[in-house]
Amino acid sequence: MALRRGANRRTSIPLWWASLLIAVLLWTPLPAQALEAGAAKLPITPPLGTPLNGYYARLGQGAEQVHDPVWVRCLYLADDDTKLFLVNADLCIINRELRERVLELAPREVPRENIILTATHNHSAQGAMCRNLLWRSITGRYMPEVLEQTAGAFAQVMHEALQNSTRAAIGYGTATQDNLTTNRRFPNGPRDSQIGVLRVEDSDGNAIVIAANIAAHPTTVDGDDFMSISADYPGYYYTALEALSNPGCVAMFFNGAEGDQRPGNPERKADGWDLTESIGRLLATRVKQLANTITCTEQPISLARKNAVLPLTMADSFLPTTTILQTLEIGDLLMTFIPGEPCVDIGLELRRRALARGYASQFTVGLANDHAMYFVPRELYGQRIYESGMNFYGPGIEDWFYREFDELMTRGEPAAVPAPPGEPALEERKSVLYMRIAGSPYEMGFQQGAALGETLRANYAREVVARCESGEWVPDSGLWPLGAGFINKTPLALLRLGIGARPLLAGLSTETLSMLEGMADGAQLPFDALWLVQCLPTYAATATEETGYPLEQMYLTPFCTMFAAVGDRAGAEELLVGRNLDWPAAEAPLVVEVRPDTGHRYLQIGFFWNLGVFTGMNDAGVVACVERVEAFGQPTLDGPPVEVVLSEVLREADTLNEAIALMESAKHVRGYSVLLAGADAAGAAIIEYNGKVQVRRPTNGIILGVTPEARKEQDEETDAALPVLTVDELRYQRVLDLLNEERIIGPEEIEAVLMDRQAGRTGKDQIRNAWTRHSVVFEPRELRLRVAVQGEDGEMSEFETFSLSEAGK
Amino acid sequence: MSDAPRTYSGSLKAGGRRRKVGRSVRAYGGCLTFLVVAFLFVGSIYFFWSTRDNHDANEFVAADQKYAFIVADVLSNRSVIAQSQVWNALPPEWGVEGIQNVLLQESGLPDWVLNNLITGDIYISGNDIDSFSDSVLVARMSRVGDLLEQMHRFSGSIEKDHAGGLGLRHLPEPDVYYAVRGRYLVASFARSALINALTIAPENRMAPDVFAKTMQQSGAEHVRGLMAFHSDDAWGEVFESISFALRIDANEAHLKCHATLRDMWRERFQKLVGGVQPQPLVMPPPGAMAALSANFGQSLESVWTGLGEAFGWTYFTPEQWATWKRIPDDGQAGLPQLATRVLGPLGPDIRVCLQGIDVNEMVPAPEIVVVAEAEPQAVDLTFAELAAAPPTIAPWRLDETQRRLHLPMFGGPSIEPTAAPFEDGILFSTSRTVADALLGEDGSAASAATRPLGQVGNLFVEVHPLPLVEGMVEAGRLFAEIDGLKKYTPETFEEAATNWLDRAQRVESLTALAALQGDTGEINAELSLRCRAGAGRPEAQ
Repeated sequence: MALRRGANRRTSIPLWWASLLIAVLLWTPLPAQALEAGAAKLPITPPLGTPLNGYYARLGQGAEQVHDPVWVRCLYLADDDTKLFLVNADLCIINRELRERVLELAPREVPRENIILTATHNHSAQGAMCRNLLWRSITGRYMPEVLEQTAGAFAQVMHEALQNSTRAAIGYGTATQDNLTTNRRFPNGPRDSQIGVLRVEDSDGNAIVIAANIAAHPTTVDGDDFMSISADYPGYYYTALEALSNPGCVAMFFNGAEGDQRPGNPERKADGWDLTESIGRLLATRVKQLANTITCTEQPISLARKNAVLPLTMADSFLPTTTILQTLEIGDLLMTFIPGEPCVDIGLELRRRALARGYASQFTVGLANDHAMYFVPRELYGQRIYESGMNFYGPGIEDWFYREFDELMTRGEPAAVPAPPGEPALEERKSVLYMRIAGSPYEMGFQQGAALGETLRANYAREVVARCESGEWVPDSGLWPLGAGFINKTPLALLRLGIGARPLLAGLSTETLSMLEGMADGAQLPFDALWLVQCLPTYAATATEETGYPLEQMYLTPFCTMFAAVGDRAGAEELLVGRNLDWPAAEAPLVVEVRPDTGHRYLQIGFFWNLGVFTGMNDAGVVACVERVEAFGQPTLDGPPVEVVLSEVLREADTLNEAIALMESAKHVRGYSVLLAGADAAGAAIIEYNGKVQVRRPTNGIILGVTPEARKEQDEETDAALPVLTVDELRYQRVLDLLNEERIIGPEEIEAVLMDRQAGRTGKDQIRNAWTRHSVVFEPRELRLRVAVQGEDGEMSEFETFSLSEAGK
Repeated sequence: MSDAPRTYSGSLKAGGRRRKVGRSVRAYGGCLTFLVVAFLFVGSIYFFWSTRDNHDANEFVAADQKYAFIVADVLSNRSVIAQSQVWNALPPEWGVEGIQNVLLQESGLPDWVLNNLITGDIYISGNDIDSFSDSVLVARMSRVGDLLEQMHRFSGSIEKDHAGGLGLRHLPEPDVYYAVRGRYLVASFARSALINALTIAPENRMAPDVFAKTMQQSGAEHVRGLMAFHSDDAWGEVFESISFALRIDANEAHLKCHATLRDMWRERFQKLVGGVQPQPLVMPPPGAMAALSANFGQSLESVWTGLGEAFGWTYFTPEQWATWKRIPDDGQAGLPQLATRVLGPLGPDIRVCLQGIDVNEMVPAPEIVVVAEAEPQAVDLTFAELAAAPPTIAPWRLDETQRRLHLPMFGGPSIEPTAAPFEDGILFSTSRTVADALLGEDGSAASAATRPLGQVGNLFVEVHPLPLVEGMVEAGRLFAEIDGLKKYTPETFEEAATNWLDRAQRVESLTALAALQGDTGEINAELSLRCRAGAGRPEAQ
């Protein structure tokens, strides 16, 4: 027994040691994986005569001289798990033809998906590599031999970097700069003050690669040198940095979120090569200073990649619908590669999110792998700036990037992606179609878009696409009439329309914009297409002079009737509003109850396609109606359609005065009359937009959309002065006469007025006419409204009551 | 059975019977022979009488026919014509498939029957030159064919049509009316046209010698014809008459035409065509997709102003030309000065060709070359004037060493018009690349473009459809890829392109040569269509 115990002790000692060893091994952090790196560079200067990329103004003509060579530079990185090539070239973009050919020729040692191709966005290097006809307007004619030579150099530089690989260490650092870059659109606009530096060195501490990351367009070559080949300021940077570094060090440059960024001019140089040299030299000096402080170690590297489906675009004829997103993690550093030109706000937000996920630093690298043009933040989308005009994926593109890169980041937890909102059901109440949407603005828009998508898409196809296809909306000026009859100009005409409608977004609240985005997504329409549909009535009213399109044929100008009785005239109700919407297009009416997470609930009566409010009331008893008044002039295209502004009023306004104040601030509105009423004050007002903003109050307890003012005109036969009223005034005079028949006006009297069809009248002079699509009686104090709509048979339905009070939900 | 031998002896009765029969046969045989001979005699008489040739073909042809076609020996040529590759090369919209089907169609009748029904040439004529609905066909039958037709009348598939005693026949299936007169088969799709043909008064018939001359074959053509137009006919405003001869072989088709211009039209275009005579033409530059060589005996400027006179076009007046040509006082020379000075002196010999389509240019660019004769003094003067123009304001670039004029526009060299004097005129190209290639370093390469055509005429056109269609398809594909073509998606375009290329690859070349006698208004033209052998086989439908 004792022997047995002793034997146990003898066997348990080695076991104990083994266990201890295993525990120590498990507890001790593993040493960094062996890192290898190599670098190489090759000139890719094209022959003279090759068209340069970047400017329409060059008209595709060939380069006339070489100022300095353009390069492709490559860093090869490998550890036990990952091998990759990180390539930067002094090109304007990485176009698809180039990428595909490079990937065909690249060394097989590295998986295709681990090759990251970036361009510095140099505007003075070869174009000639795009087969797509539309791109050729910037890149010049397609020269397969230039593509082949350039792609061959890319492959060769990868081979050489691979051959040069050696045991290496890597590190990074960041510093701030306050004058190397600046915002090119807004003097004090946002800029990225970060300089990011990546240093890779061999086992002797000699730099293999020093790479810089800042955000600024390389567009300093101009004037007499406009047709010169050059690497722009990155070229001077390479030369200066390599001169400052050990022999064999390859300088690299990764441009950042440079969409709206350009180089600064710290040394106050005149335009020309002096300025180019100054920026390159200053950048190299700062980068070298920073690189000298970086301690390199064997840090783990990892790549993530996604072939992502881009948001819908009206430019899908010539822009990609899918693209490549990549991230490269080097220790605590995240490098985010974007296939185009993001504006700086997007880069800054990506950095903020990366840091929040636990990364120590983040570099945004634009112009990577693909080029889907510019990406602007939401607040710039409606601005008349070049970058916004070249952003083809809607105002939500920034969120799309945040969402997609959120998935690619490996640290921290990605934000939960909300499930798509459900689709609301359409209810029929006494022939009145009703729908309720609720949630965040995006969710509400999505619900409406999803429920009514078919109608929205049909409206877009019928009212916009078909008119472009027929040539009706293809402009007849400039270059538009050129081209043979078989050329389909529709895609470009649509694009022009879509871009042209964006300035109407100016001044729109983020909530409404978000709701529009949701509506577009729900309806599966590009944002620009959805917004175009929303703007059609405004375009219609502006007719041809401002837009160049015969848009009045789309929707005949609506004419309406709206009035209010206040105070004693409304009896116990204290405030009653009557409203007929006369709309020439025979479209199905719809009542939508909007229940936002924040702001007021409201009911709006309109059609299947509109997000704005033609007729509506919120749960504070604020009523809003709009009427087009031709005598007030044409609407402007400087801001959102008036009905969209009214939707914001109903969401925001607690009182009549707040509503009036909001509408008074809508200075861009013209050619309309807006009736506002508020239960709080038991009052109403008409805001007239006739070039000035004028507020009109009730007279004798009555206020009408248009006040009949008979003018005297000489009768030619009798030479007598006869009173003359316009058609609108005739209609309103009838309203006034009917209201004046009653001393106290109740809801039933309002209904009767709205349904009046005076004998002997047949057109616009009738209160209820063939174009009356809905009639509404508002009882704001009761938060109640009665709605009748025109059926398919042309007859009005019975009035159906809707309530915004809690009890009436 | 017993093996016992049996003997027979002929009985008298039996022998007598045999003899009796023999006598009877002889007796009856003689009678039968007589009957057969008589029948054959009568039959022969009927055969010869009923198939007698007692009519002439011209009896069924009016003297004032607007059109007449003679199809030579259609039955012999039918197979060769039907199997020709030419049918595959022609656009299906022309309805050629129907003609081919008719030629390939099995009639259900043995060849010997057909050969007897239609012997030799057939004559088709009528007056409705727009729809040819009143065509009357006259064909000569052999006696056997005539007899077979008479026998076929009893088959029941032919309806009798008394037609006031004219004795028409109606074939319901192809809806054809016909009548037989002597050994002539007269047929038409239009009953009234047939009746008219059968009842032409002798004085209105085509004279026998005229008819005989018409029927006389001039060469190896398969079809020949004549169309005489009234001034209100579709082509009558321009032409008085057109005659033609067509031959279709296994891989080729040749069409010769002779047309006479109407006096009114000739007067209207007097300035353009008045003194025109056929000229020795020069070959267009080699390697073209499509080429044209023309010589109307006058310069481009004269042609331009002549068009203005003929049509009254505003911009085609001599005054307008002079305005464009004059360099303004401020020296601001521009495109009008360049165009009029370079193009104006060109002629009378002008060759134009489409050398290619550069689909890699900023926009797909046709590469056109114009090689034209011009007065050397005019060319020298033009280049001297252009050289003197201030280079900063003139839109062109003049290479004085090589004497080449370039007009850089947008894009690359294929959209850079270039002109240079060479030999007896000017070479102009829309593409600098093509011009340089044709001119060479010293312009010597262009002499390849001056080989004589070897034929006399005023206009020569040659088209090679395959490279032309290939170029157009490649250009169209670029537009289709960006949704830039009406009615086509990239997919439907590829489908259509496959069809176009298939058709184009069947044709080797299409050539036309036309000669105009300005004083008489007569035009002679020859068209040839050459197909690639074995590029598609016709099939019986």
